[in-house]
Amino acid sequence: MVASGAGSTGTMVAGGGHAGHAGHAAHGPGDAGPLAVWPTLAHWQLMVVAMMFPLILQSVRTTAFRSFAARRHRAIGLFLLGHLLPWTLLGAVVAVVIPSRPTPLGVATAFAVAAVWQLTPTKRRALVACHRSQALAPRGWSADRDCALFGARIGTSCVMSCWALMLACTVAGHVLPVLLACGLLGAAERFSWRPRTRWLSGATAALGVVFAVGWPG
Amino acid sequence: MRYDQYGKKPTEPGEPTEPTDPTDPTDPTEPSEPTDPSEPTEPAVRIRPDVWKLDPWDPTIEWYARAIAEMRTRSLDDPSGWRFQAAIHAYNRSGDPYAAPGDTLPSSGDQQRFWNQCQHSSWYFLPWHRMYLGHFEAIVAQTVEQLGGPSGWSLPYWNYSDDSNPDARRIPPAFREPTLPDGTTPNPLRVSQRVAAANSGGIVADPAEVDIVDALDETVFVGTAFGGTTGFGGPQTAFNHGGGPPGKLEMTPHGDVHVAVGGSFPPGFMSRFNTAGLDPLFWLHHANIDRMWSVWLARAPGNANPSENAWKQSPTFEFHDAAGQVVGMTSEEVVDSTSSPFFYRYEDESDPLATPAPSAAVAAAAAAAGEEVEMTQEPAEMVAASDEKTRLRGRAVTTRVAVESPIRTRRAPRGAAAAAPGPPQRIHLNLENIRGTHPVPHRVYIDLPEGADPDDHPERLAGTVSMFGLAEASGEDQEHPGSGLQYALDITRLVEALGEEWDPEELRVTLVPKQRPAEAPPGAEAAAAPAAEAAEHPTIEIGRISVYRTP
Repeated sequence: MVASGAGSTGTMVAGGGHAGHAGHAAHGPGDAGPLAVWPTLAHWQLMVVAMMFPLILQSVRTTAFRSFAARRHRAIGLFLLGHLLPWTLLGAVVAVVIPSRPTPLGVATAFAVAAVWQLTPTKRRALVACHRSQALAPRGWSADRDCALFGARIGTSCVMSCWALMLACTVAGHVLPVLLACGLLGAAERFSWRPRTRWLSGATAALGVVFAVGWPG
Repeated sequence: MRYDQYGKKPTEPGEPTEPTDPTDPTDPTEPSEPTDPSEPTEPAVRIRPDVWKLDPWDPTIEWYARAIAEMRTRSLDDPSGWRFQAAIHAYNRSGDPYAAPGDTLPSSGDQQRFWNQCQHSSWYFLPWHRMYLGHFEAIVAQTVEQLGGPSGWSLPYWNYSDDSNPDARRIPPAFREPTLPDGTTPNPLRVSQRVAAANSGGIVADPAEVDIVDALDETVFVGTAFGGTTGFGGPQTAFNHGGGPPGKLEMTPHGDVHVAVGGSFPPGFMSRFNTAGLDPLFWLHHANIDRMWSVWLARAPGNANPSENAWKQSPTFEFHDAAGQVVGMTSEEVVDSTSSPFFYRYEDESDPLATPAPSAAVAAAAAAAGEEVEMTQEPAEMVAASDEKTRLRGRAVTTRVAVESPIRTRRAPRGAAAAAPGPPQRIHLNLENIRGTHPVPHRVYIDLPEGADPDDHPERLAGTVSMFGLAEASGEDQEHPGSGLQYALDITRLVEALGEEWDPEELRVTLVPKQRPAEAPPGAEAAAAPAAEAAEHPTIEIGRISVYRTP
């Protein structure tokens, strides 16, 4: 079974294996103090970087080429920081409220929510908004501000578009097969721009079934 | 002798026709050479005629009108219907001028699959529109036959750039007559949602708006969305319903003619993505754009379609054929118009320009130097940018663009390629993230003298921007991210002509709104327009103006 294999050999993106997974599992709500949230948040951030940054390459290129060469790296850095901000806010909420030990029911529910979300007009609008561009001030602090705001704007659209899928990844415990499958789904919808929402919804639901039925233990 | 579209005298509309004789060697639907009946046969190549070289009510035009009347009776969910065909390009229910409570819409899945498909600001612009026109033409041809007309109907083209025709920039007479030749039947080719001068016989487009030199002189098909040349065919994109800078041909004359016909106050059918296909002229306009693709390819040996698989094989665009069957196509299937699936060519595909293509000059210089030159677009570098937004409100506006590093470098300019083998340096003026509601075309000038009349300085004209699709591109919805329009104007020649006649620290860019067509005969429609235009000039905002040069 795919998911059985995932469970027995699965690797945490952040934790490097079951040790990391166990560490994550130890920090659920009600079983740890405030400081225990930080490892979970770190895992979330690494997941966001690993799965989202490849999807925003076009926006990064826009930021780079719409900036003077002398400040290009600075512009990209500010854009990425801005992009991380809304994801970080969502990650903080997730780290506090999401049960961290994966259960088949939890995984199935999370993917069902993600499958339904794929069909909503709000999701579709958010996905289209991920392709937005905006004018950037070319010089000085206003250029820095615009790059960060542009990143935050794209990041907000990304959160609106992908929050359910990322949540499902978290509920599933960040195991590699789930991350890979969800990453492929995210890439398919982002790079095609005109995704078949029903097809993607069906694929999301199918993933939920596979991972829930085949979940170890 | 001019090529006859059918190879024989067409049947007059309204007269019954005899069934096609399968043995008739002049029948364009049959092969011209005898073939083995057991082998599949291909139809002969049809000719898409120049509408201005046809009689005003040539059967081709009258049958088009009658077919449109018939297609308009079909329901909104009928793929062969007039409104469905227009919706393939773009559709917004709230902006549908024919919306009625009794409309039967296709399922949401079918809407997502077949509507709002037009490719703009993309290297798919040309192949997608070729597919679109090809299937539309087949549906019209079938409708003509169903109405008792001849087989093999072909879509005419409107060559508004024809310098030998003083009427070229007027819309053809049949498209403005209130009735068909019988004097009583309303003419479906005439729609009232056009600029006032159009239906009264005025010239609708300025010469600069139908100038094809920049497009045909472009040396590469694929451009960039990041400041440099946008190429003849547009920047490389995924499926792109809008957003980003258009290719050279898509910008001018394509966008300009759209708005020149549709107008701005209010935007007529042709001025908006969502309604453009509802004007019968749309299809003739795009046939001419499609023709220019063939002209460009034949103009110079170096002019070529993209070789990337991403262009040739993906994505698969879906349409309905005349039989109502779903057909999927990729770009590489339509690169040759004279073969399957569409089998047509244009009455005139000759090079209209007297000057040789720059790519030919570069290739000749390289050959003389014993070198090989590959015509590809190079990454461009931003060298100047405005600090403030530019707001247009119906008057000339000048924006100062601060220069960060030299606009010109040591490399040879375009046009001086013979002296220096290699792709010439290119300089582009970018208008970024233009947002607004009313598509008012503007002329763009570089470094006009203070207080000068722009009309006195054509040598400073960088180009025109049509603002076609401005409202759609500015709105955030399920089809558009709301980034607004983008343009990249090639100012290389202009910069070279100006020489040292400008401030190296600052470039002045002046945008002048297009005036109403001045040559419209007096009439009620023409007289009503100025008051309406003066009453309201909603702001158009340009996010930034910048200059890019290749290294």
